[in-house]
Amino acid sequence: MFKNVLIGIGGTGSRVIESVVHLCAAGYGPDKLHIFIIDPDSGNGNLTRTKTLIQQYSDLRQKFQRVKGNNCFKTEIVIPPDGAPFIWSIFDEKKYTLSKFINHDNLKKNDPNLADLANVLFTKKELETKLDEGFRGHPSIGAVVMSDPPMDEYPFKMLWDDTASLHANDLRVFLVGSIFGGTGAAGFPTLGSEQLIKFNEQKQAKLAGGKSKVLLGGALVLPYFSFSVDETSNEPMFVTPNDFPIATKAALQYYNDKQLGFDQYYFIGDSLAQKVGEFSAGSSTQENFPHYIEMVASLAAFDFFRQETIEGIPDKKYFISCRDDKNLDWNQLPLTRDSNLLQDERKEFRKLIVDFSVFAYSYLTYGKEILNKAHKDLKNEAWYRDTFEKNFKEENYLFNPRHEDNKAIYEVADDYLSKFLFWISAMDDGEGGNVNMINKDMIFSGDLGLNVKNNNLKDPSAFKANIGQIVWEKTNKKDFNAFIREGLEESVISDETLGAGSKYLNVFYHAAEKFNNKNLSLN
Amino acid sequence: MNKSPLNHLLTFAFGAILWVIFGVFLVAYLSENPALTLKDPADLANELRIIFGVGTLLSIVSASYWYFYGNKESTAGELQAAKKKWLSIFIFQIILSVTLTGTIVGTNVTEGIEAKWFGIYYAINAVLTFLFFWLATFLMSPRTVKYIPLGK
Repeated sequence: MFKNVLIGIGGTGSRVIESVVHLCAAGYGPDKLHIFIIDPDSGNGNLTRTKTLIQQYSDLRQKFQRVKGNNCFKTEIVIPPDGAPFIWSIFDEKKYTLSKFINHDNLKKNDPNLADLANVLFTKKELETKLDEGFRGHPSIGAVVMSDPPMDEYPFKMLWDDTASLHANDLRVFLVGSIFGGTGAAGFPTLGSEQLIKFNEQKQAKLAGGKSKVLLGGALVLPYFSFSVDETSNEPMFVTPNDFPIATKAALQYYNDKQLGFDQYYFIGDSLAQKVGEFSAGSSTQENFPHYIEMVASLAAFDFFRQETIEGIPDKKYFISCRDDKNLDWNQLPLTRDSNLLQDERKEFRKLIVDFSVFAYSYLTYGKEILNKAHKDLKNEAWYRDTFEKNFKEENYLFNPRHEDNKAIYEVADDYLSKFLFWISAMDDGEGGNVNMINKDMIFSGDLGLNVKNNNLKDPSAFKANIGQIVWEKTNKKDFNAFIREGLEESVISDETLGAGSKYLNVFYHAAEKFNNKNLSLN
Repeated sequence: MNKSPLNHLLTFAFGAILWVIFGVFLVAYLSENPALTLKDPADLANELRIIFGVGTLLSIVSASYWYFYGNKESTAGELQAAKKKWLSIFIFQIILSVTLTGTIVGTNVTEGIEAKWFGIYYAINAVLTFLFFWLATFLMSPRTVKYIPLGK
């Protein structure tokens, strides 16, 4: 029995977790996954987006009763219980500075030598800059304040809950963060140090014979994006894309020299330097477009959690992978360490993602349109009547998909599925671009903005061909009429224990699967 | 039963049986019992066979066209148009039954046949045209349009 724990550190960490959640929604994830985040910038837009997403995922997973064979939302994502903190924001109060953290004023009076050492190690600006928007590309500050995390409090407590019966390497902990910024670059080696997690004696992670309950893995995300720098900004201290290479070089040297607790490393980066948004030092204004590298980092985490049992002391392993050329499509994704399984994994991954994309798109367009019509006005729709006509009772939520009690599931499904479509579409570079998996132009009209609700989904009844060409590769070009005939009409749900809202969603998910079985070239 | 070509074949068989019942087994009764001034009952029987045959054949063709149309992928997204199409064919069948009966009346108006026999001929034409079409499409319409026939 394994326990899988994923810890996202900093802005990149939280964006990778956003990808993890979406891939779990599509059915590509372990059965159970514990997640938490470390970020002092608790108001960060990316972090807020991820936090809301996990809540919506869990909410939808709980409400959506899935029929056998429907693997979407199969992963139980565990976050700290009863509203306990899911994010370790490091500082208890706002506007904290490093000077305050190390009690610099007192040191100057009581221990001038130590205060002088602090003055040597940190500039005045570093000591006095407010840290509640992150470490602004200065990991040396983060390393100080993250060196002693509260292991007995949530979210770290979740790491150690129910671990007494675990054997060597059964507690699989995966850290993910950027190597080039502030929080990730500070937190990754600090938490990856041997004594904090890997061989934590207080939590009995350390076993006899140099073994540990913990199998520690990590994805170090190397520079992969770019953003426009606002030269007029008044921020006292921040990181820009120009700082990335030198920060990365220094960090890699550090990882090469330093003996850390990691058993397996994944080094992930990209040279396309795509822009993901405008400059922001932090806080709510720091919200970026999703990037495929974040999905790749998620795949690294899944590969780590999926590996076979390791007996004894694990060998150190390092994983890297790169594109064949500047283009990135379904056939370039590094999905597994086992090269024999790679082709099958790619097929399965693509099928799951495309199924979920078609499900989200068809439900949010045609599915909503049908829900907005009265039951009595749907006398001609065979797919609808075959599932909902037989036992229809206006006042019973089990049989009436428009019953008041079913509205909650649609609300959360609408929100979640919109976010998924935005996420998968935002990674697309469009015609002639480098990153081509799902074709955003088949789904959305106009430019993709960060505010999902402002985006317009294309009506599949008007753009009939789009649903069959949602994926950037050769398909059988089935259209929306085929989706109704070969998807919806073949997806009758007769399980009467399901609420009608769940049945409705299941019909669309199965329809997407069946449609893609006919439309995609699966070999 | 709603898969092609099974529905086409069953409809043809069903139509053929109906025609055999009225045009072969019952035609003697239908032609010998009415009062005829000049016409030989055998001639009337031949006329009835042809009229019933035309009605049955056009109904089979109509039902087959409906199956073909209902099976087209494009129909799935145009169910309102499909409903109109079915109603048009159904009305055409009603008109056909009236026209065929009118033909029988027209060719035998001087024979002094009692009105009730024309009523019976109309009833048979109704069975062979719109009622047959309705029943066939009610039972054997392709999945996409199976709820379109009246009464479903």
